[in-house]
Amino acid sequence: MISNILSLLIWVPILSGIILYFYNRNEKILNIYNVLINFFVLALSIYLLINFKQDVEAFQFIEKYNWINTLNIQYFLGVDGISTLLIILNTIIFFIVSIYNLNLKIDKRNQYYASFLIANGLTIGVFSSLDAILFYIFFEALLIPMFLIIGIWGGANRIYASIKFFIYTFFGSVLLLISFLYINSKISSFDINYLYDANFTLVEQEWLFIAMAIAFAIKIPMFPFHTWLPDAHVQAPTSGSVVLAAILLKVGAYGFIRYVLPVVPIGAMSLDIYFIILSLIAIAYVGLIAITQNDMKKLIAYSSISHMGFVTLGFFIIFQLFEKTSNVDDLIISLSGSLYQIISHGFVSASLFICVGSIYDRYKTKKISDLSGLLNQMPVYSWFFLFFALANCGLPGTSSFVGELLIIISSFKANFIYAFISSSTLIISAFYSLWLVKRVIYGEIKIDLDKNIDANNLEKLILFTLALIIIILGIYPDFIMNFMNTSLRHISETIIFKL
Amino acid sequence: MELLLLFIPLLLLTSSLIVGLSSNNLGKISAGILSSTLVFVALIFSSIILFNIYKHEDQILYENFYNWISISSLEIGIGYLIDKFSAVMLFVVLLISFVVHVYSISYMSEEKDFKRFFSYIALFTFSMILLVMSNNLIQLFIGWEGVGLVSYLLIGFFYKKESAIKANLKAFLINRIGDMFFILGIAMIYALFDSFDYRTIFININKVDFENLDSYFGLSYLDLSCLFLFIGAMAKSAQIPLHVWLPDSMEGPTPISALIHAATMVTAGIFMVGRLSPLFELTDFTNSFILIIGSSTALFMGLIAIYENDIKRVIAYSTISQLGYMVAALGISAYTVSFFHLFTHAFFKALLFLCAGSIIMSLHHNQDITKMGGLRSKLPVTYICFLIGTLSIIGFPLTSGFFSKDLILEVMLDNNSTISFVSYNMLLIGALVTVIYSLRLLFIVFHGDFRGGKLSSIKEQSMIILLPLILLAIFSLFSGYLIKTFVDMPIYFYGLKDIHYEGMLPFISHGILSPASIALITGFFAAKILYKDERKFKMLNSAITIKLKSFIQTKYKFDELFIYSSNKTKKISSLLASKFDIGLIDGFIVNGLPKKINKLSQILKSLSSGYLYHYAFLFVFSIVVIFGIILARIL
Repeated sequence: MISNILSLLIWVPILSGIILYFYNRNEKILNIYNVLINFFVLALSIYLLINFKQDVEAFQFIEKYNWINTLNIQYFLGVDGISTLLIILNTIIFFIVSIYNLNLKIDKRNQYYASFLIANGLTIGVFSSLDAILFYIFFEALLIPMFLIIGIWGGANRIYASIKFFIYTFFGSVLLLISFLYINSKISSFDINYLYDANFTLVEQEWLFIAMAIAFAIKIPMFPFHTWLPDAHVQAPTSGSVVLAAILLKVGAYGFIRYVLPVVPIGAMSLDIYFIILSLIAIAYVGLIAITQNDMKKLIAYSSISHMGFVTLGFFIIFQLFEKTSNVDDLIISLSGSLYQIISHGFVSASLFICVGSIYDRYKTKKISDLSGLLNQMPVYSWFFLFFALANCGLPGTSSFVGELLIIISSFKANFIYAFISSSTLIISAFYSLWLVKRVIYGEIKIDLDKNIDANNLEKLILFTLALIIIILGIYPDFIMNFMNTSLRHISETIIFKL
Repeated sequence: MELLLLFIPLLLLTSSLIVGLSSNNLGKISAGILSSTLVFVALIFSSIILFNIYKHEDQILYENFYNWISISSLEIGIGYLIDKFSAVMLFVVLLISFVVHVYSISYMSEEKDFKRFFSYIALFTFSMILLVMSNNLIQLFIGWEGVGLVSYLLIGFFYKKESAIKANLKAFLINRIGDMFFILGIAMIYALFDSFDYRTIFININKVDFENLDSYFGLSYLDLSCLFLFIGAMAKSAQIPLHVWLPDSMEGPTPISALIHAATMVTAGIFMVGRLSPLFELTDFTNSFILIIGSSTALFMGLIAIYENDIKRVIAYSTISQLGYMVAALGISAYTVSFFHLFTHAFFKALLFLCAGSIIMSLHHNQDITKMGGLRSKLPVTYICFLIGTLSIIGFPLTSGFFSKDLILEVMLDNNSTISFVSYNMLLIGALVTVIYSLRLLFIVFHGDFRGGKLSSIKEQSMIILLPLILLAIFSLFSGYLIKTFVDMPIYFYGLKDIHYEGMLPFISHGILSPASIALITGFFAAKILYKDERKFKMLNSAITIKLKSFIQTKYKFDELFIYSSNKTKKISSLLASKFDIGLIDGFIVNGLPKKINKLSQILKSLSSGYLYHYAFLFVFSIVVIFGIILARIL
């Protein structure tokens, strides 16, 4: 048993990132070093997964030290099923990105790698900190590497996109900090367990809820706070987009389930209808917008927002479910749907961005109208692209079906209209995903590059791994469900107890 | 038994994966033989199961292979529920699939993507089996969507052809419209029973207090949920108005049409309603709705077939029309009768399509019937098989179609209600229409003179093509004699449906003397005079008939409706994107706010200019204003 495994998971990548920042000589050593560190972190997280006890309700692998006594701030780490799964998602994605980056031809390679390593560690920090301020610090610090990745290695309009991204999310973060400080002023603690036990008045809860919800809603992003995402994606380099879609958006969703719903459930309950409406708008309206996008990355960005709408819908219908059926199982099913959607979308969106990025590397364009008939020139890529597009429209047998199914059936129990609007995604997502496929992959070739540009072995390996994960998650979801059942039951019971 | 049932889907999945992912080392022919063998083994297994089910009366096999999801009270498994109903269906699916596999070895041999094709059809069969075997709604839905997916891939098989990739997108989107309602229906059923499992649902059906359930839009809860499920079936089984994808699906290779139209995909909707019959049984509105949709599809889609000139499209419209018959039978709760027609139809429709494929091959990929004619002498085997298929579809006495179609008409007539009487008449006219378009096709293609150039170069295809035809022809002739099996087939947890049937001989004599025979004879002479003797009548040139003809040839504008709505969606999408997302949120608020702040700071900046007289002026001005306010208050 490795003690302090969480600290290792957080600080190994961050410190190695910092070292890498100052080392810029041999490219080969750089590559190997980067992949090795990422692999080490992945292996460590798998070790965590194996040693995690599924049926224990309390947080595990706890590390608790006093940090700043006068302000009640602790260095307090620990994981439950939810965080474990998200950490695994995180380490897998960063490992795949580190391999994908080997193919890149870029300036300041060491700093590029360093930014990703640091982001890796910080995200693990976000998912494992159990002290609100510690969480806030990781949450906030995560902005810096992402800001750099988009701002330095991004496309032509990167400055606008990165500043928009920064200001948007920073605005949310300020609200989050204020909420945490207020909570501390009441209960003199930032400890998550005390937060769960705390009781606030309705008005307090409403205000806290609004402040925290806006902070996380921007990160997810929920409609109407979503406009930073398409710009950020279009300008970000491929690996940046992958991390942004697969990991960063999930930080917002994680915030909801860890710091909002169980801490201020009454506030959430009294305002849930607004967030349900916003989620439904995200699903239907943002999905509609995605249909006619001409930039592939923008299209996928909008589809991400639409899919994240399911996550928030699953979060906020639980109160109406509780009112209707008073059965804790219904809450768990809905929350499971949301979490599954988070994990599934992480892999699907990452795969799609990798495909688009590789097309861009070859054809130097992301415009759908410029491309056609890629199947003739890069068949391996195209079949994978088709597969991921199908996964994106929630085909059974792929991971995305599971979450959407659970949320649609739960939302019907809450209200007919919710189910009706959310199930429209079956048509809308098929429309944007497969129309994209029709225009880009099928047909006659438009730009003939006249050389062998299909995926090389490294890329084949990456695509194959991702496809395999998506299929396994689709045909045997119970494996993942077992990990989160106990934790979700605990959270649901905390929520119900406080209502 | 359990092992056999596990192997059936696994064999097909293996076949699909091996053939699809194998390198070039595996040659075309060996790949074809390999996957045909695997399907054949699965077919053997399914016949063992069928045999066992019929040997042990009332045996029902039910088990889960594994738990797909279990979250506290919610448990969804992947498993099977095999009773007579699903065992027969399983056998039919595998039989047709096997025949199509063998046929395709020769038909597709020239194709570069031969192995991709075989991988697809194996996957297609796999999905259908998943659907048929299922013991719960979710597995059904997984197979349901899987079938939709593979049909998408198959219709777009020739991905360079613009028409093919349009048709496959259209097929998928329309199926997705159905799927949206289907999943809503599933959600409604789940909310009622807290389970997706057929057994649990059917056992608990009597415990539900239907009186106190919510009603929506004036429909009872169960009516609406079954309506939603049926809308799903309408898309899959190509009922008006969601049928538009089926004629376009002819863009795929011909063997696929046989597979899609005969045993897989389009029959899924019929199968689903039959499977969930205990639920449908309790609905009023939905049953009438099903009846109306079915009978109008049967009549109006048949009419279109009379004016089509593409051999595959004629058969495609005839499929839609025949599906209408099955759906209509579902509407009067005659589930097994409907299933019987599905059973016989599977054979003669597969036969017709494969014959069409043989003709198309012989004519070097010509599908236009105006360029055919007189092929009888050159393609004798195909001719005889096609003739058998045609006789079956028009319900010629003692062929399989005669039994199943007559049974539908009879139960329709026995069902004493106004709607079913109207439907009966529509189906009767539909039978006449069937005779006309089927015989028209036969006469134009095989009789008269050849209109496509030289006849001498045309010759019959190889035995690999002809053997499947002969096999199917035998089934088309004799499968009708199993009528008793279907009349006596129990519907799961619901028991026997009371169908008026007195035995083979009375049925035959009664059928020959029924109005359907008049339709048959009238249709025969009409088709003979019009298309064989090619006589023209003044009556056909009158204004009304010409108008009627051009009305039918518009195909009732359903295609235009679909194109219109998809264009409208795209327009709304780009409008929302430019006006709302970029215009309002981004332009006005996100980027607008910083601009406003900028402007404000400009104003503030100009105030602090550094000139003393500016400050002096402001100072004096402020004092005047303040004193003014104070004065105003005092006064």
